[in-house]
Amino acid sequence: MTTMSDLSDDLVGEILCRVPTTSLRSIRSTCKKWNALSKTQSFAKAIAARQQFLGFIMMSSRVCSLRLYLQGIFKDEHGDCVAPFGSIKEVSIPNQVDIANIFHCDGLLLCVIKGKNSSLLVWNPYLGQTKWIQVPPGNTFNRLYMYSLGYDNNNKHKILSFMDGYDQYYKCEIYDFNFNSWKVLDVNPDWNPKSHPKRRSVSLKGNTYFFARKELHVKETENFLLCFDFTTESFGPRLPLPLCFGDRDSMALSCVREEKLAVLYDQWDIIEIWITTKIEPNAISWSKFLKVDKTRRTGFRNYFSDHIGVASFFIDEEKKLAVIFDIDKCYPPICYYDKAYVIGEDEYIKHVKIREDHNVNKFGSIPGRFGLPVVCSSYVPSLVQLHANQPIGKRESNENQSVNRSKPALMTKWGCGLCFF
Amino acid sequence: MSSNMIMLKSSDGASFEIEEAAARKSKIIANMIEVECVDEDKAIPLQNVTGNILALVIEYCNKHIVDDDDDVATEEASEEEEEAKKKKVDDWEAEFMNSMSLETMFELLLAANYLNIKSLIDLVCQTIANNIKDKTPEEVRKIFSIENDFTPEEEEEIRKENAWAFG
Repeated sequence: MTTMSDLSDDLVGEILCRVPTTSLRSIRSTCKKWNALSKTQSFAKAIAARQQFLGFIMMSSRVCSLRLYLQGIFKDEHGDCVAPFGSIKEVSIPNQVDIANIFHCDGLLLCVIKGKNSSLLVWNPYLGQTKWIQVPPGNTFNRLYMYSLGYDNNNKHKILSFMDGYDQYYKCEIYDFNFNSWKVLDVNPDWNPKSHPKRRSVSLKGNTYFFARKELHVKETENFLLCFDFTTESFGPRLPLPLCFGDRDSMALSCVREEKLAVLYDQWDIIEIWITTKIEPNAISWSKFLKVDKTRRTGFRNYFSDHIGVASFFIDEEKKLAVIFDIDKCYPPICYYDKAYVIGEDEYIKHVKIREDHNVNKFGSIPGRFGLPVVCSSYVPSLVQLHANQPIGKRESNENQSVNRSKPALMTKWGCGLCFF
Repeated sequence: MSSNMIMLKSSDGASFEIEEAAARKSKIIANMIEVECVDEDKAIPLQNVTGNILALVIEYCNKHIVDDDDDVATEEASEEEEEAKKKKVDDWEAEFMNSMSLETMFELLLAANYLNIKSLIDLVCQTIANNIKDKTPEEVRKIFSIENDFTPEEEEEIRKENAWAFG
């Protein structure tokens, strides 16, 4: 009788890579051979090519994976979304550690761990590997720092740490995974990163992009996009944004399939989303993707939660849809809840309440909240080994300014819970 | 359009006549034709494929050669027509695979791989993959007669490590 065991490894791989990523756990738990096959280059590439909506999001200091069924969204006779929208699953990494912020770059997640002696955790979910990195000496308050993960032309991964202090005080350092050490970069920018204190940056093709601003006169600022190029280890020129906006408008950046950037403008009554038609560290062009008039729909809040965190969002270019995450508030008693809006063409708007279990402090706000950053929406597996080049014990540092503070990589224990919406 | 017929012979001695255009779906046979090592009077022996499986391969190739002809004839077909045609092929393929046992699928996959018919490899692999989707590891092992070579601790570790991937 012919069975699976009669097939070559190549053919078994051909079959397994066609199973949705959401069944990865079953594949890997079946037998040792399947577990090994699922970690090969060709397997990861095949999964990447399928472009599924599996991503990561931060909720209440925890990292969650996010699964969406966008193909199931359609309208009933009232124009409402009727299909199940998705599910969110909490994956705390490691167990009991609170996360202050997360960033994503090509299948790797960078988590900033809460606490005064803050540290960073790089996680490769696909290979189940983690690596702890000490922040540079003196980086004590998370709020002041923007971190980004990227890689250079030789695929060498690096982390940028940028602090924008007061009175033109900057501190910019870069961590090299090869040397396991930080080094100070000499920069003297004439701009400030915008979206304080969220410090959101989006990595695309190894480089990282973020909003920045320059004060021209009193009450007049110029807003633009900037790129940090991990190959040249320098900031690029100012990149123009598609629209002008006021200081009260909120905006957000998102990555589209690791190929393009999208920017969301949330003005008083209009939401506009633009995507890049060309993006390089020193050149950018835009085209309009969606425009929705909020006043024509009831139940759609004016302004997303700018006071808590600029709404994070992602788009599905093919289906002409955007999903925007936000926090809403209701009374009494004061209660905050996470909400997702699905917006599309023809003024199509649908909102879904995700959950409402935020602890509110005595001032009626949520302590330590950074909003709901979706750091990646179409997850692409990464085969980057976080354990490679890891010293066992101490390693001498070659550079004068660098300090080797990394711990040996740890395999951590995982905890998880489930919530559906 | 050539309507040359060629003969194929299975490992168990069954002979099949097939249009050259359909046989060319197989890269191996197409190569043989290119280098002119196909004798019109003699059947091509396919030592790794039994008659019942070869019959399925030929049914698939015949069906798809007709589709390829359609492509040439209706180059300016509208989008709807294209879609309708694609749906027809999808329906046929679903029906074709639906009646097959898992064992037959494996044999068909081995034959498609041996004969190098890319689209048939894709179709069979996808159909087998659909049997794995949303199943527990126990169910998967049962369906495919696979032995669990993990210790309970190893299995638990993998389960935790991959919790993010749902399933």
